[in-house]
Amino acid sequence: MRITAFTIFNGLTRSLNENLKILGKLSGRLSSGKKLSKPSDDVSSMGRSMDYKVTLNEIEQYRRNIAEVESHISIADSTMSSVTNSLIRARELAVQASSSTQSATSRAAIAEEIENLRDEMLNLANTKFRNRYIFSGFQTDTAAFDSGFNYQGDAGQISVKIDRNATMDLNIVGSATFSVNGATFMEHLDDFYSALMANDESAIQDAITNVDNALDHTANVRADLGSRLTYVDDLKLNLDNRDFTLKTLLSNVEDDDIAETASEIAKTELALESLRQSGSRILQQSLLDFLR
Amino acid sequence: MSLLGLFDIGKSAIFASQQAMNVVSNNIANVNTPGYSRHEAILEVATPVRIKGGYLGRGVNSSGIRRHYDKFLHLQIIGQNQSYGRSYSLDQGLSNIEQVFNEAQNLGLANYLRDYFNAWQDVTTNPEGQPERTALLQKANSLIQTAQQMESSILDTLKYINNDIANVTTEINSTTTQIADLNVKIAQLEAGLSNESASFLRDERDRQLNKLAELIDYSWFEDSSGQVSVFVGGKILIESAYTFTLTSQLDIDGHSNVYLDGENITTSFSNGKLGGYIAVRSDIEDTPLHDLRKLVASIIQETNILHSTGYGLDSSTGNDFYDALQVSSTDYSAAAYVSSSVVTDRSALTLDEYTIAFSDSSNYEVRNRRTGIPVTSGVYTAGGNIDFQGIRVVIDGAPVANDSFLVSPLTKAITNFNVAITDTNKVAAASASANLPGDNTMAASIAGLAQANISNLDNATFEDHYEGIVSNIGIMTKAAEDSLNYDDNLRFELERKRDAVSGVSLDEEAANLIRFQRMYEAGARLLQVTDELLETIINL
Repeated sequence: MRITAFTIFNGLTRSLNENLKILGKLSGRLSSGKKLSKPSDDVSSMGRSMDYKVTLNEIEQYRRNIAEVESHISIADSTMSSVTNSLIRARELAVQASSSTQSATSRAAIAEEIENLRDEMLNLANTKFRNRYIFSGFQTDTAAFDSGFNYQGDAGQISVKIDRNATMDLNIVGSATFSVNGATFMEHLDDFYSALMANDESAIQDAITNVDNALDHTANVRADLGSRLTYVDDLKLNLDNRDFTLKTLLSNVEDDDIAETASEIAKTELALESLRQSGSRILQQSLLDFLR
Repeated sequence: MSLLGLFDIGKSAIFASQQAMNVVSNNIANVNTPGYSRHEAILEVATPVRIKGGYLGRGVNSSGIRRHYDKFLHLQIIGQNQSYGRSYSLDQGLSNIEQVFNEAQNLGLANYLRDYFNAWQDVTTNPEGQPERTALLQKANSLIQTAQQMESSILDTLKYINNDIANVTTEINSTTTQIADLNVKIAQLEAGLSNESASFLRDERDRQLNKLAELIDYSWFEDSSGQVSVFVGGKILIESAYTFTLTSQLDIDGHSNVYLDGENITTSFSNGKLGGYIAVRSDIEDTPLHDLRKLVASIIQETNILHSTGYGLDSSTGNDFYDALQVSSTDYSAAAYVSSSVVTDRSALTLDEYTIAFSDSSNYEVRNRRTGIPVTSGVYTAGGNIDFQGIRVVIDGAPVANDSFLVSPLTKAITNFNVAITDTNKVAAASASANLPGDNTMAASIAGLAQANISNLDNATFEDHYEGIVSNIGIMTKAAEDSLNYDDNLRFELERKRDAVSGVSLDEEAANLIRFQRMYEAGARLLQVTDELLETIINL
């Protein structure tokens, strides 16, 4: 095969161009820190990276939802803790009032405090968080109980997705929460108040039973709220783990191995350098130089 | 044989070496001329004379100039240029589109799609919250803007491709004119001479033929007078001095079509830049553009179907979240037209495109445009309803055989993509009828669409479908890039081979120069010796 200057020159410029192209690509990788700069660089890695991003994004959303659930449940829980305190005070007063040594006057004095406890209970049942009544079911713009202690809300459970296949209710329904023995806590306290005013000892005894039952009921509600919080806590940890794993996987697919790229660059630069040297030597050679 | 004959021999050596050195100099001068084929002076023994005991040559003759040229290689180069042209166009078109879907740089729809469904999730956590509802409308608007931006980038690329088709057509015409001119000159110069003597014109014509090959695929032959004829799509493009002009025209779909002699020959191109542009145009329309529109259409459809049954904070119901999908139509008919096309049952809509084709003036068949599967057929009555898969089309006028109408719920899906809701209270987060601000069940259902398998997307989720578009583009671009590389390398190899035959080697020419210089010197010396001999005789 005849070799002409044209062949050598073209071959050389092509090789130089090719190496420069590789060098450009590598330094792009180094500066962006990413292996992939466009889908066609590696279609299957691109697909995987999109999958990971979808799942990571989902996890992020579940965390946000969980934060919302947590704050609602915590508010409900602290409300129920105040309910417990009120009930304990009511029980103390009931025990005190049931004593046969109490007179009608002293019972009337206790009745006044029970009246306050009853009103406080109504307030607690109508607790608002972020401007919504938390015990009214779906009717979050309506107070859970009216002044006649009738439930105004519904049985709606506001359910929120906290994992791909898990949902959690962020509310508890007031009608069930604040009722025991077929009447609301407020009604029981009201009955207690009436009994005290009427100085009716047997009715006062009934009040003790009702308050006891209400305390048990509240403890159950709080246990349910507590277990929800624990579950959500565990789930958060689980989501954190998954998040970490996915981020590692994503980084494997997406991120550039800097050490490897740097050494690739060094290799390409070496190739370029030797091409330039050999090229300049070959191109200089001509028979014409030797003909004198 | 006289002493004087020596003069003639010496003279012939001087002339021949001069001629050869002329050829060598011309080679050297053209060492960097693209497409130049090297020449060589042909030297022969001058007609010998009979002497006692045999024949003796009478010096040297330069009988002509040979052009080093391999016709078979040239044919290969033409073929390779055609493949290269096609790969070039494909690579150019697809790498543009790839940038539109470049999720590696977070360009594209993925983030906005996730944000949109996440915004619905946020509504489930606070169904009566105005901030969440406002955020939802904003996220939906970002999704819309991005989808519209992506569509317009794709449409821009298609527009450029159509412009390129028109430009290539013009370029082809100027090339064919030059080839025809060269045809005439070659025939004139070579008339009565040996074939291929107009070598510099032939080199130029080869260059033009190579250039033409990069633009279109053609077949050709050279006739006995040295003129070439070129054919495309079974029609004559160049015949000796005559060329036929290619013209390009935009059709109803905005496609540039190529006409030769009044006939549309667009489909006959498969190679060269023109063939590549035509192929990449339909690749882009059929895959990324179609699939993106289908994705948006299904988001509109699925969201609206759920949303319209839900209830807003103001207890309103039956509201679409997005403007409802519209059916658009294109008439491929002179005397008939689609007078209306509407969605009658959106839950029955499969988001396919349809061709209503008339076999004669009274019978039509509705076919799925993509699969070609017949959907329905019937007898035409002007103004009558044609119902299929949730769509009602009304055609008016007088259709004739081979008329067709395209009906599509996708064409305008992205153009008309718009949030219908302006009042945040009308965002339907609730699914029960009463005034229930805390009811988040409809919002939860719509948020759940993100993970749902959508039957109109072949049971893929929105994300999966979109990922499919990105992967497809990646695969197509990669393939185009690879074949462009391959074709470029092969072309280079062929150029090298051609160069081995036809290229000028300076070393070789330098050696030849010395060779002929020496020949000249020796010839001159011969004259001198002869002169001295004569002088000797004369002085006797």
